[in-house]
Amino acid sequence: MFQFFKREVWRERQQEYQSPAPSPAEGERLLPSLSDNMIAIRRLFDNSADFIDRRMMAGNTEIALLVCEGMVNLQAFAELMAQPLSDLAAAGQAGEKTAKSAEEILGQLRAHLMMGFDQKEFYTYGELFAFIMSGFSVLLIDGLALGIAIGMQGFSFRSISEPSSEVNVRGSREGFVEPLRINLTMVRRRIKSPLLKFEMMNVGVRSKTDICLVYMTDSVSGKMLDKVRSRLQSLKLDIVLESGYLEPFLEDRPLSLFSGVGTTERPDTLCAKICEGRIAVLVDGTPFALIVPYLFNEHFQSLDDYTHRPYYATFIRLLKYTAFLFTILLPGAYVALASFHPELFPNALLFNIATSEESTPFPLMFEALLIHFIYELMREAGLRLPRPIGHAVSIVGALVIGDAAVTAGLIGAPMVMVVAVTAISSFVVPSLYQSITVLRFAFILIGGTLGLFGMTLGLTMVLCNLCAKHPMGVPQTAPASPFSLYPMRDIFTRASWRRLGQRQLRIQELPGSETDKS
Amino acid sequence: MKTSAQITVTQFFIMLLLCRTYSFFTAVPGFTEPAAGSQALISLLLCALLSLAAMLPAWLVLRRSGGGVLQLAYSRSQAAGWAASTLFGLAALFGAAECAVQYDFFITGAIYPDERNIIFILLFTLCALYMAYMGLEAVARLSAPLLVLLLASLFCIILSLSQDFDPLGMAPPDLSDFSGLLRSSYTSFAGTGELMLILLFLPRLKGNAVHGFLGWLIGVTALLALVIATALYTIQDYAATQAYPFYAIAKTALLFGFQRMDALHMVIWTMIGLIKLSLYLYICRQCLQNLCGPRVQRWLLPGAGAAVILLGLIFSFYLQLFRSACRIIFSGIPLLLLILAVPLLLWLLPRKKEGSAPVEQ
Amino acid sequence: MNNSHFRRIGLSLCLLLLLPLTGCMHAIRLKDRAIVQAVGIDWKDERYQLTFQYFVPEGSGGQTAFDASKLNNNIIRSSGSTITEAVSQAGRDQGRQLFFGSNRIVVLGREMAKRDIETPVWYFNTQQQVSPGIYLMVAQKSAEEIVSAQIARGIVPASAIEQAAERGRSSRFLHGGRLIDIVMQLQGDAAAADLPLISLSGEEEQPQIVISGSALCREGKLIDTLSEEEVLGVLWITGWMEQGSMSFPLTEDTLCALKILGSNASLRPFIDKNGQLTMEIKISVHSAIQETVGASLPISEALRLASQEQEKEIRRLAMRAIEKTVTQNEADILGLYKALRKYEPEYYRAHRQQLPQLLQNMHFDLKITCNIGRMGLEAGEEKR
Repeated sequence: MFQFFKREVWRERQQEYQSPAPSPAEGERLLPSLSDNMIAIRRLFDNSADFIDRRMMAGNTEIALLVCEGMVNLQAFAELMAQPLSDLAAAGQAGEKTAKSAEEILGQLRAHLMMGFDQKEFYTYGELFAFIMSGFSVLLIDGLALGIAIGMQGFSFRSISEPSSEVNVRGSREGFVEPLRINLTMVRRRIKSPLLKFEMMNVGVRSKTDICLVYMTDSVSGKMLDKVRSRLQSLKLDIVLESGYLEPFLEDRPLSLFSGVGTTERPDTLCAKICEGRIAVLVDGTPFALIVPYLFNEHFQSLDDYTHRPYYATFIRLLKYTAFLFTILLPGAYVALASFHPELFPNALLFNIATSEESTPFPLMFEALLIHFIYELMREAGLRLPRPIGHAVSIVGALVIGDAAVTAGLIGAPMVMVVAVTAISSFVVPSLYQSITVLRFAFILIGGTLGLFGMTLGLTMVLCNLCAKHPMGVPQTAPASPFSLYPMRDIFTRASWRRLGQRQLRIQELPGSETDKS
Repeated sequence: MKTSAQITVTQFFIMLLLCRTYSFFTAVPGFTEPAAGSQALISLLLCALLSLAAMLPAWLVLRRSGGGVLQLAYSRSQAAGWAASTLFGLAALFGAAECAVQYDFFITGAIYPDERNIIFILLFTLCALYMAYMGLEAVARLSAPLLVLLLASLFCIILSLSQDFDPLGMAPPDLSDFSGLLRSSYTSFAGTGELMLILLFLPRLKGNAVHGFLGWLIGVTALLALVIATALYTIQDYAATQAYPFYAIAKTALLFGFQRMDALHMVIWTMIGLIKLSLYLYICRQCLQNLCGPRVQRWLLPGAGAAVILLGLIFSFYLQLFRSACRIIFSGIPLLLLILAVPLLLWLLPRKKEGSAPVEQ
Repeated sequence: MNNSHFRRIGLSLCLLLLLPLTGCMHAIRLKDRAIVQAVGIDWKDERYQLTFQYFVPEGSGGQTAFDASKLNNNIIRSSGSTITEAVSQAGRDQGRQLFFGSNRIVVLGREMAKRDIETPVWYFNTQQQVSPGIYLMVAQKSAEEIVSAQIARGIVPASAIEQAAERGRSSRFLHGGRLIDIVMQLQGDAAAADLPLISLSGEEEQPQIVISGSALCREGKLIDTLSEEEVLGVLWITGWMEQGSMSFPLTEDTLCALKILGSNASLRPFIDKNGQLTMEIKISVHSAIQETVGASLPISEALRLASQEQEKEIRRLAMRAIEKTVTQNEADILGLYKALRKYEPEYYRAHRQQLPQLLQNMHFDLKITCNIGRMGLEAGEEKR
């Protein structure tokens, strides 16, 4: 049997997917001859429909203008490129004193005619494609083995709106959008300090997705930064379309129940996190930024906590912790108690449960699994359905689960109550929804087969798993355990801002942390 | 698994406090002769003094040499290191099995009387194995919140029992039978396997271990004294009729309309038991690693777990065998051998210039 | 094979090995349990006769609700040479497992109590499901009569018995009565206990539960009964009296009712030079005048008289209790032995084997302090 497993593992390793290496042509340098460049470009682009090139003469020198259709802001193009280039061409025709050599044309373009701020020079085909596909306009000059990219992006994107996943009562209504650079501006506007640093890189062998590390140079830990940088630089993915693709690479234990990488859609939240020494990763094409390291207690914090009064914020925090415990433990505990320990129920409640079980055909564990499964189906359907039909889901759900199933005697009324409380509680802490769902089903199974004993073992294992996690070298259960008094002011309670502002918290200084601010 | 795991003194002694409390609450009835009534308070004090006295020589020896008892042994000779690792490994193995059996007796006696022992011993040990695999730091971090939970639950119980407070419950201790009192104190001391754990975990502790040890001794004594005093002032003679008196109190305690609190206590004691068992498994693994070397490292913990399960099942099925083993334990000879004789013998051995160090975990 | 593969295989093997265990713990559906609410134990024909009242929902039409206005119970009877045998037989006859976890009442028949109370007490004391807070009572006649009475109050008839016991305990006309109290009393040196005495009254169609005094037991047997006044005396001496009320005449024309706000009692033994053991019983009580009936009195006079009469009344009740329990029956349910053990340990140890004789020769010195702190809302004579 062991030999069988060994053979299977060996076979799997042989078939491991190898990410394709980038095409060698993309690394080739540009040629001095414009014609040769254009031939190579067209070949590499394979006559793609959105590739536009225009040639013109400036004096005796040919210039080629390359853009991707729909990527460029036409007004900016007209002001920054079209008019000056036309003037240049017209001046050449009129016989005025113009530059004759390519270098002179380049100098003139750089110094006098180009008003765009974002200008870059490049030397390889790979860079050329990256610029064109990022919305730059590219100029190639015959006789020069380089190109000039001018930033005049004009592609359509979603306007800044309230983040859908992190709704607050107070606080900004701005959320991140898909273009990376707009997200950077939102962060920069909130922290007007030269210590705020953006470090660009790109990931994805094919997609060459732009990502940006965001951190405060005076707060961040050097070791942590190096770790993040090296992990991102060494990852080999074909394409990176969402920040979730990068998450497993930033975690030590990607299969663990609780993630050590957080996400946020809010620029204000991101700013608050990076001021505590964390590192944010913004990914082009997605409004969800990653934050490392992310401690467990942060799932229960929101910006509203810091805008409300401390006593109310404390109440809401405790409510969230209770909701979390309810949502993972309530169904399993209910099944465990009813099946193994009914003596723990008060009499009146026990009678109700016993009465409801009289007429139901299934054991409680199966009932719980069934109804939670139906609930998950409905939730997922509601997420994917088009909005006009979405209302039908809620009606069907209310009728099917709330009324028909109970009236038909398939499930008991107390179970419906349990599901309702569980479902509502799960949305109090949306960032933990994935773990909650898996744990909930696991605890139902455990509770139904092993009772409270099994649930205790399961809970202990989950807690131990949580305590063993060190995202970026910081204990995930800090500062509760290892305990640190001062940071606890913002964990189960929320101290007033007078107290919170007394000392700056840095994540790497929490007890048990491996990294330091070097 | 992390190498060179280090935990703070506070974390470690919190774990030991939980272990000691667990041993007290789930002591197998009929296997020891604990002192009754207010003599139990005197017995507690005497046990603390005995622990202090017994640990003093080892403390002085290890303070000189630095490190733990295994490091001291290996600094003397390879043979001494092996012998020490074998002794402590066996002791840890037995301690782990005893913990599993103790838990099994408690859970099948108080909560699941109709279920089979194998389920509890197997699952309990597997869970503790997982925790030991997760590492010492993870277990240590779990202990502090558990202590808070334990203290909160004790507070709730004491609060709910306060209405049954009877000042006549506590009679003055009967000191006429002082030898009996000494005997029960000594038995209690003999069952304090945590003293052995201190000598083994010393190299992994950050902080002042002496302060930690004294704090632990005082904390355990105070906590258990509070529990005993509460029992004497409230349920008095009722406790004597119960195999697990404190569990029975938890059944009685009604607070804020909650029906019974015994479920909460079962949860807390199960978690504490898991911490205790995982500590012993961790030590088993460490000792086995010293004996077997790093090549078979990945099999050591599963092997230790399998041995604990086997031993636990044997003890739970053959109660007489377990009684005999407990009789040896409560004679005090194994504990004195480990915490007194071994350090002193090692101290007497000449130091070898190039003694090999134990394998770092 | 690297570590992650090994881990995955190991984990899968562990899970596979654990799967067979899923059927090993016996989960019992609630509909397969008979949720016992009251147990009656009688002794008849040299056998234990057990009567169980258990919950059976009687619906109101909705499938998931029971009708609280209906009786929602069933009665089963069984017998056996041991209680365990009788319980097993009941389970077999019923086809459901008897579940005692929510049982709150155990009633012993009079004959059963006269024969032996310890066996049923220890049986329930060692049951894992049973809470130590359940009520143990002795029936005036048979336990079966009490347990099978269909009292229309609460969800099940046993609720009425439980409510009567709870009310008695909170209103302080019932001493102890819980399993834990009785076990503690039986375990003590006195081996004496008092259990509430329960009977049915009212018409057959509408029976009512009445708690009328206590059954006094010594050495595991019922030896006598205590009247309600004697129980009150026991409550005063043990310091249990709280939230009760007292009524007595102040003068020939005036009656007064007092509400007991709180009381304290302490027992302290003294041994004089001649070796005479005297138990000093100090009772202090704090009350409020609730009502005066008849001719009105000046406030100061009313207070003085009320305090005086209350002291007399408490003394009378206490002496009655002492007379009945200690003098007549040598049953120490007042905690005299415990006081002796605490305050005179040497004397106690020296006379441990002759404790009943000590009781006979014990003198009692009652010191009662009555404080009436409130007058209520009624205006005094001066203001009228």
